[in-house]
Amino acid sequence: MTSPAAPARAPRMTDLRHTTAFRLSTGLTAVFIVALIAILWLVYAQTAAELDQRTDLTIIARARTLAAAGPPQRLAMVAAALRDPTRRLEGMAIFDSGGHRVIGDARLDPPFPLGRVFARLHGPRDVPVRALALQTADGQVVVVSRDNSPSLDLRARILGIMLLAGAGGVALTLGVGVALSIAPMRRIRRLEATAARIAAGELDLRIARSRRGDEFDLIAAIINTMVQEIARLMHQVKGSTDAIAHDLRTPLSHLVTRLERLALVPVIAGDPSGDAAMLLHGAREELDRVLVRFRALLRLSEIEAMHRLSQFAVFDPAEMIRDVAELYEPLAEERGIALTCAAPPGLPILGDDRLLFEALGNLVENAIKFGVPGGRVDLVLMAEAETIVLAVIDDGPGIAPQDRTLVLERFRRGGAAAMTGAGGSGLGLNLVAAIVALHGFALQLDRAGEGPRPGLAARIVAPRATVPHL
Amino acid sequence: MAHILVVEDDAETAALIRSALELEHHSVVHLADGRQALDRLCAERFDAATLDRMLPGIDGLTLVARMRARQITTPVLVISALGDVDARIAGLRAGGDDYLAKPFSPAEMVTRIEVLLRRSRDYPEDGFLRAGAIELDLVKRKAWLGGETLDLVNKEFRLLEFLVRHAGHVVARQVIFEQVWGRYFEASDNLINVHVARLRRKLERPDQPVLIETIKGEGYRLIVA
Repeated sequence: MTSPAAPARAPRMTDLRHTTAFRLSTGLTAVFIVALIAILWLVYAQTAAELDQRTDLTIIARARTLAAAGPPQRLAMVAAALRDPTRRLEGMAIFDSGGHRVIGDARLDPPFPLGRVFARLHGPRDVPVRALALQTADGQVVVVSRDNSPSLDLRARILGIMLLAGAGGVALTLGVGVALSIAPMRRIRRLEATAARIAAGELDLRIARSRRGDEFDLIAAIINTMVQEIARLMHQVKGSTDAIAHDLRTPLSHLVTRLERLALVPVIAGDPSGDAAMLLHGAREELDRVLVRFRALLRLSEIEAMHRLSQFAVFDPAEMIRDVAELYEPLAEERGIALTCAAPPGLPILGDDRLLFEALGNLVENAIKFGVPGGRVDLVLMAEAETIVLAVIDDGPGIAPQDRTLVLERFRRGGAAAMTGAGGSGLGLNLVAAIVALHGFALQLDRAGEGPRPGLAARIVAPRATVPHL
Repeated sequence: MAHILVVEDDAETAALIRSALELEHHSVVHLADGRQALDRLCAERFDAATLDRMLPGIDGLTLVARMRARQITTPVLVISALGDVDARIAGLRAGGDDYLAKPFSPAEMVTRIEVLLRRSRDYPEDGFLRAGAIELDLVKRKAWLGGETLDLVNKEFRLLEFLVRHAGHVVARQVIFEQVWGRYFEASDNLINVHVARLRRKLERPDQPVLIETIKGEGYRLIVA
């Protein structure tokens, strides 16, 4: 688990691809490109048809003139046209009734259809032409052709433009999509980061709003209203908890007082081993147990209600861990358990030294309480990748995997506690979990080894802190 | 024997505080109203005071602040039904010297008052503390029992020092933990018991009676012959 308050990370391409802005802009640009291509195609088709039609009108007129002329005049006209350098785009030929060319361009030789315009290629350079062959009244066939390259050139040019427009359009679409998505994505990331901090307990934080009043600002306003309401409710709950605690404090104080004063009554004070004194002693013990739980509960609510970072500082936990070991060593020795401590310096973390001492103390106390004589408890501080791990590892009965989340519930204790009837408020691990959560650290409960005594490895995993330069 | 002002509007709690302090031979003046208490503090010298936070007249924190503004340096133990850290910090910031949350054990309250009383005459002029056969050199951090050097580690020395400073009085476990280890949290009684037991073994001599007495449910007392 990383710190929920991680800074907003930079938007990645894969994130951008899924944004509404990206989808809308690419969709719109795609529609635009299709429309552009359709328009270009329409212009091309119209122009090409117009050009063909003009060519056709020219060749029809010439062919009709030739066909209408008498044979000698027809021959002279064709000969003149073939000689005329300004009429190189045109081709002409005359065939007799047997299909033999009388005069003209060999490229216009049959076969060809009669009476309708046809297209063909004139080798060897494959020049495209449109041509018309007409039967004359005297049995000859006249053929007139005209070079149609301009029309085809136009087609090639327009196709080129369409390809270019298509490729450019796709690039433009992606570019516009990314550009339009980055800003919203950044805002979403910032919103996400703030929301994570709010979820981690900073209920007085609010999502920042821009002056634009766009849909993000609407969302921010909705979230802010929700957070405000949650904060109000939590305050109310804490208020009523405090009120209940306050209401309980006074009667509990009175109870303590009355039992204290009862102990001074001569009939009890004068006979310390009598029935009345023993009953009173039992009552005081029960009351002590109530008070232990009462105080632990209050402490738990207190930690849960704390604000992150309020008392946090970067510190080296090595000394704190050695203090914990020193504090619990006699208790471990009394129970025949070896308590070891391995805490190298130079592994700084950001946190509250007092609270983490309390958390580690609870873990060590649990490990000692449920450990067996001859066993061991190891307090370990170590670096693992970019994290610092504070671990309490024992070789006791451990906690069954299915119970590991249960033991974190209030008043719930693992199987070993139930079996040994070990005392305690039943809130120790809750307290640890609350302190770890307050820090945004992770609490991991795992088996430490194999066999009938798998032990428990309780690990508090914290991000490595950077030491501030003063 | 000290002169102590108890400002508490709850009669039952006041009676408990009074009887617990009187058992330790202190003289107690009880007032239920904050304004009267301020007048009394201006007129009369007290060695220490306990203040409830919620009082008729002026509330406890305002009372401490006004006392301090008038240069009344009497050490103050704030006793309150508000127990959380914020309330504790507010109590100490206002000028209180220590803070105790209700419900409290009378032994813990008395120990805290004793700590406050001794704070002003804390450091002996020659640097030596003595109680019965025990002698402590606070400068060189050395301890002797009947002239014989005691081999104590750091925390054991501080624990013994704390007991010697309060020799003859019951000291509550929670206060020992705070004062000796400098940590504020609900330590289990058993945890402090083992430290005391270890120290007790080091003080055991065949010809000497038990020096550290356990008072069940309350704490410990260093016996001075």
